[in-house]
Amino acid sequence: MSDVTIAIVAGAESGRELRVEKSLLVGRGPGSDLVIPEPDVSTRHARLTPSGSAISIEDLESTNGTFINGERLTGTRLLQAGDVIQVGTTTLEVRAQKPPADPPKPPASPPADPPKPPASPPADPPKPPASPPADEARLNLPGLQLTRARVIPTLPTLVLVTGQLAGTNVPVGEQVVVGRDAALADVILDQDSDVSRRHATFSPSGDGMTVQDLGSTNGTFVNGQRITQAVALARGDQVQIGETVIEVLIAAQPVAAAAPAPTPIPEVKGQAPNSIEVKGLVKQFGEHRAVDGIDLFVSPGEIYGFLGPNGAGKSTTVHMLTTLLPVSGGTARIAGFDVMKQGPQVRSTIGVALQAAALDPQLNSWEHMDLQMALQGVPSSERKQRREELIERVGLTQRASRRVSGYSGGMKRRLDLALALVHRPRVLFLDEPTTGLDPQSRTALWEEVSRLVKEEGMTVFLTTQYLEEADVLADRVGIIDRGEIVAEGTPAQLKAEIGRPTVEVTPVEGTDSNAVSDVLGRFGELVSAAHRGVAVRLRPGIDDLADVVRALDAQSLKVANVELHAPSLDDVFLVKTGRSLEGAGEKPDAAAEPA
Amino acid sequence: MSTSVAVPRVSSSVAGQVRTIARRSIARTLRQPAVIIPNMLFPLFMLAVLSKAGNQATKIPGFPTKSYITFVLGATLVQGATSAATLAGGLLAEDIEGGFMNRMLLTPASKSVLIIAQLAGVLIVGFLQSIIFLLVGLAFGVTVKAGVGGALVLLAIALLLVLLFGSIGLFTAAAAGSLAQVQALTGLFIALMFLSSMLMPRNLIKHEWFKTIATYNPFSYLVEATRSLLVTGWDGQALALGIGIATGGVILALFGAVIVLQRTLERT
Repeated sequence: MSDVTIAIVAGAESGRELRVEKSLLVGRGPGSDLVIPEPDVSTRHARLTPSGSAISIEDLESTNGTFINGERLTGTRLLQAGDVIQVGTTTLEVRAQKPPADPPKPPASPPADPPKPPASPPADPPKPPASPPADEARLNLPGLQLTRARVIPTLPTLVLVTGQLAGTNVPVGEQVVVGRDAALADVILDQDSDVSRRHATFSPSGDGMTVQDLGSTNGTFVNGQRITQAVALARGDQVQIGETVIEVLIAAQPVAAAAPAPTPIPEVKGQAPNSIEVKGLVKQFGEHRAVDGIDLFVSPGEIYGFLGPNGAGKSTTVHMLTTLLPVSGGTARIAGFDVMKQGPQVRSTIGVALQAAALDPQLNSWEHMDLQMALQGVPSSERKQRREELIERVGLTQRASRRVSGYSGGMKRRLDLALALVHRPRVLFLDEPTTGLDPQSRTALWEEVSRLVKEEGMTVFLTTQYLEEADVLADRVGIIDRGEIVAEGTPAQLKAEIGRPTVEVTPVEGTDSNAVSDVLGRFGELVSAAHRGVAVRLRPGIDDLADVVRALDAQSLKVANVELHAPSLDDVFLVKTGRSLEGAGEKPDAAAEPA
Repeated sequence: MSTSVAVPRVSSSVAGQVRTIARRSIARTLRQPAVIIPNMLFPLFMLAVLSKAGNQATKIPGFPTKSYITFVLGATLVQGATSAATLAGGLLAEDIEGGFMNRMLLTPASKSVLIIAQLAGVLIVGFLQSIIFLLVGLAFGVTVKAGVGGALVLLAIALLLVLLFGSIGLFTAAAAGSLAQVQALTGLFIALMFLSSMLMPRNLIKHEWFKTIATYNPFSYLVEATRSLLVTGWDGQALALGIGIATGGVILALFGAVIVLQRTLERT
């Protein structure tokens, strides 16, 4: 066992102390042992490994780096007590293992009979403690996903573990009515005939909360007992209303630490709350496979860029993931809900802005917001504030009373985004949100999307045909071509993978082209270049433009222009598909993609 | 960072959904005068032309009235109602083509509500239009043989006809998903109108082929139901046939629209 522990001294789970008894993955992805749900943390960021009595740390080529005592870590390093590890905004401190609180006292006098060595080793090795501390237990359980161990607000919270809203958390900051009638209840269980119109109410009380049955026909049960009066709830209590089992969380307890659900739901068990999980997804239109068995995983709080030309299968994928198009094969889960079997739950979880801003030209922004909020079931008492907040956020307050028919493309896109957010979705799908927008509108939209991820922890699935958009906005990029994902990773990783820079030289005299080619050929592989230019993709190890210039100068070749091109996502696309992304959409099967 | 702090509301009541969509339907319909006004003026123009041109017909022995404008007003009400098809269907087709239907499908609203509530706007317009037609007729000497009660029933039938043609428009839009196909209904309805007993009572149509077509043409019964209240008073058979055909048509068209739209706009 190592002699040091890792303490989280700043960040979301500040105060926790981890013992590293096996290799621990640190990252944003749900497969991580220590999940740090921050945008600056990569899905697989770093790894802590026990190494004799010490711990070593390895940076897993994270985008924003792992820092030890302020220095960026490259490769692996052995940690010592006192080292400070920085991952995103989370700070970890390496601490020496504390001695046991009460060391066994030596006996006052030697025992009369010294203990005999055992004749044989004990039949059973010592058992681990029956109930290890929660954190340790979770860390030691293989495959347990700690993404659910996020810190919830300090408000007492209801966790709906079964029923139509399974997987949903409801903070109880003020009275929350549960019932079947949308006009009377805050949490609406309208698909359960055993639930009365106003069934029960949860009210904050001190640091906890109480539940009271509102004269329901079929009763409210706390830990299996039907209640007849207001009952104070404790952490871990289970309240049953119709088919819905609600667990009570009081104080800032990680959700994962809650007692297991009495009736586990396979659909949501172990799933990250805001994740997108796709396995072997297929969409077939007749003989044509528009989407051909794609796999992808988008971590909570991640911006995933889905890049590809027209007709590649981007929008078809979005339509399937948003329940607008049935899946031909494979599985897809959004926030743990199956898109084929749990459409209503998926739709209540997601916000969607499809390719064309779907707006009614005859209505103004306020009317659009009112319509959307009413259909989404946002209570009328909240609508005014919510619509004003969203309209202001997208910068449409001045024009909100005008009909949409008079809006520019950028304004329509911004309204579209606001409409997608009215019900506070956890996962946002944006299908080519900036197509046709001017650079200013595009930048404004990028800023808003980044803000949503940073401040609201939203997961964003963004399709685009713009390389720059994917490069600037996305934490990770999947490149899709002809229905298949041909590359996936962070933009930096993808570029690094294929990644050698290109030098393009334009000689003053066209007749010097061959001579320039001869010189450049020494530095790598010649590739196509613009008119009159000669280009070379530099061999690994040659990164200095000066070497190329000196070689040209040595041959007395006069050049009009020398350019160094860093690898781009288009280069990635070119390498992976043999075609350039720009213009790759002009192909016959583009028609298979839905509008 | 907050990941799940909102109180979820995944559903609104059906009544609330209907109210919301109906309100939008009314607003967008009334905001398109360029669509509504021609639809209203064309039947009035036809009423003016036909009432002048058809006066001679009243001299045919057995013609049920001396006032051709009274005779033809029933057809005007039917013709006005047919515009509900292009209006309701056109709006639904626009929603499908423009992606607005997808937006609504992404809410908890039921598909049936999304379709049926779209008729609210055309019902309002159709009702106002029928009142205007009746008032214009009365101003030009039309009398309602069935009296004031008959006039109210006439308006109720006109509303039923608006519902019928609006539903046919929704069905067409749902099946075709295109505005052009919905607009093609206008020509079809005009042809069916002129091949019905709109201009002449069926028993006075001379040509046997025309009489046969008019007999099998449901438009004849719609026209005859409205006309009976104006010309002959309370005619139970004419009313039963007209109302029965219209009601059956509404049920078939709406049911068809919902079924077709369920398939067209598949949602899991």
